[in-house]
Amino acid sequence: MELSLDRLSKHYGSKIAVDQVSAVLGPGVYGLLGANGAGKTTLMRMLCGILEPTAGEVLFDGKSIAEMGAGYRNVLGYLPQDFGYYPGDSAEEFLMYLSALKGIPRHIAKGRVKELLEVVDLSACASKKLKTFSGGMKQRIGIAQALLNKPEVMILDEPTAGLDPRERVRFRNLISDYGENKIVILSTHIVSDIEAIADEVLLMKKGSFVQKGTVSELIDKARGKVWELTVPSSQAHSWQKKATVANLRHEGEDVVLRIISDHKPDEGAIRAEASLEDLYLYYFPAEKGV
Amino acid sequence: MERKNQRKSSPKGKNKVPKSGKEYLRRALKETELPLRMEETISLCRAMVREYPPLQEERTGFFTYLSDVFRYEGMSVFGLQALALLTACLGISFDTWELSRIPFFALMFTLAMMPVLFRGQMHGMSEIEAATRASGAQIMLAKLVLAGAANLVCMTVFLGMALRLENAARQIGQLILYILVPYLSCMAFMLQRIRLCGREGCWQSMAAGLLSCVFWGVSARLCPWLYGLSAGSVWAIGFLVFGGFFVKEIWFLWEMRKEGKMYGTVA
Ligand SMILES: Nc1ncnc2c1ncn2[C@@H]1O[C@H](COP(=O)(O)OP(=O)(O)O)[C@@H](O)[C@H]1O
Ligand SMILES: [Mg+2]
Repeated sequence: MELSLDRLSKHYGSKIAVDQVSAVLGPGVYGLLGANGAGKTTLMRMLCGILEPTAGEVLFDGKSIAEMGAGYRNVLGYLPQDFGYYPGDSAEEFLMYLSALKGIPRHIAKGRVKELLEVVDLSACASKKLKTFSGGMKQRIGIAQALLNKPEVMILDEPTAGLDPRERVRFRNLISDYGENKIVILSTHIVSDIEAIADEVLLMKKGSFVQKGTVSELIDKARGKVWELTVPSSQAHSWQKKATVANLRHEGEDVVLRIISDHKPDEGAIRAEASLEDLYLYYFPAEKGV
Repeated sequence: MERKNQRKSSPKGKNKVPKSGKEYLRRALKETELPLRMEETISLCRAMVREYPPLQEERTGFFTYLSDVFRYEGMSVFGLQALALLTACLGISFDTWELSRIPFFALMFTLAMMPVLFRGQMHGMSEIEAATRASGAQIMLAKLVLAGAANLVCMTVFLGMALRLENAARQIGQLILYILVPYLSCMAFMLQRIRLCGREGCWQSMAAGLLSCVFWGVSARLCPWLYGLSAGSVWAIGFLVFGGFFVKEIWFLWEMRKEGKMYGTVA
C-alpha cells in the first residue's frame, strides 16, 4: 500500500497554494506540520480527490486516484477542517446518513455506528441533536465518520482542533491503534500532537515540504541552532525584537532566553538541547508561541 | 498435476502456517486462561490473518443507494413539489385566467427543487459528502432522479389542470411548451452553476430562478404576441435550445459520476 504524490501543484490565480509537492507515503502515521496558510488543507483536499490539482497527480498503489474514483474513495476516510451537519440530525442519524453515502449496507452500518460511538465516547449522546454538541464533541463525531468504512487511507485535517487534553490523549491512542498498516495523514499547527503520534513529519511552508523525516531526525536538524542566553531583565525586550525567542524564563534579576539562530547570537550564549518546536520556530520565526 | 505443484512452491506458499501451528492455535483459543507461549501465539495469529485476509466488505449498488437517498430526501423532495403544485394550481385558477400565466407558475417546480439540491452546500456538508464513495456527482444525480420523478408527476397534474381550465385539448402541445421551456432553461442554468462554482452557485441559481419568474410574469403583461398561435416556432426553438443545454448538463453529470470526479467545487 502506497500513496505517491507526483509534483502536485495547486494555483489560485497567481497565488500558489501548493507548489510541486512530491512524496511517497507507505503505511504509517504522517504529521503535516505548518503554519496557517501553508497549504495543508489544499494539499489534503487534493489527496482526497475532491480538489483537482493544477498540475501533477496522486497515485494509490500506482494507479491515479482520479481514474480509480469510487474505488479509491471506498478505502478513504476524510475529516475536513470545517464541516457542518443537517440541522435536526442526531449523532446517530448523521453517521447513518454518511454510511449510506459510503455504500455500507444498513445491517452492517447499524453495528458499525454503535461501535464507533463507543470508540469516540459518545454512546450516551447517540440520539442527541448535533446542534447541542460542543466543538470537541462535534470533532469526535467527525473522526467517527471518517472511520465508518474502515479506511486504508485516512486524511484528517486538524483533527485535534477543539479537543481538550484528555480527548487528545484518547485520539492519539485511537490513531496509533488504528494506524497500524494504514496510511494516516494528519495536519496540525500544534507541535506536541505531532511529536506524540507521527512516525514521520512533513514540515510544510509556503506550499512545499521544507523538511521530511522522523521526529528525532528533525530534532537533529535543529541541533546547534538552539541557544540559551542569560541577560538582565531590562534587555529581554530588545532581544525578543531582534531574535527568535522560543522561551523566556525569569531567574532572580535575570532572564534566560531560548534563542533559535544559525549563529551564536552573543558571546555569552551556550548551546541547548533542541526540540521539534525549535525547528518549527526556525522555519516559522514570525509565529512565536505556537 | 504439475501445475498444481508449481503453484504450491510459489512464494506465497512459503509463509503458510504449518498444520501443527493451526492446531496449537485452535487449542490455545479454547483455553480460558492466557496461552503460555504469548509471543508465538501472537505471531501465529498475525500469520493466519495474512494468509486469510478479511473478505472485502460488501457495498451497495446505485439502486440501493437511490432508495437510501429516498429515505433521507424523499419527504422533502415530494413535499416541496406538492407545495409547488398547490401554489401553481391556485395561481392559475383565479378568475382572470390567461394562458400566459403558465410559464410563471411552471417555475415553481424548479424553485421547489433548489432547497434539496443545495442542502449539502448550504449546511457545509458537501466536502464530507464528496469524499464518500458516492461522490458529489452521484449524490446530485440521485437527488435529480428523485426530484425529476416528482417534477414529472406534478407537472402532469398541473398540465391536466390547465387543460381543464382552458377547455381545449387542441392547445396541448403549446401548453407543454409553456411549461417546459421555462423549466428547462432554469434547470440547465442551475446545473451549470453548481458544476462550475459550488457555493455561490446556489445563490446565483436562486437569483436566476426568481429573475426568470419576473421575466415570464412581465412577458405575460408586455408581450401578449408571445402567447399567440403565430409565436409557436419561437417556443419550439426555445425548447430545442434549452433542452439541448439541459441534456448536455445531464451528460456532464453522468460522465463525472462514471469517472468518480468531484461535481461542483469545494471551498
Ligand atoms: N479557494 C481558494 N481561493 C483562493 N485562495 C485560496 C483558496 N483556498 C486556499 N487559498 C489560499 O491558499 C493558501 C493555503 O491555504 P490552506 O491550504 O487553507 O492553508 P492551511 O490549511 O495550511 O492553513 C492560503 O494562502 C489561502 O489563502
Ligand atoms: Mg487548513
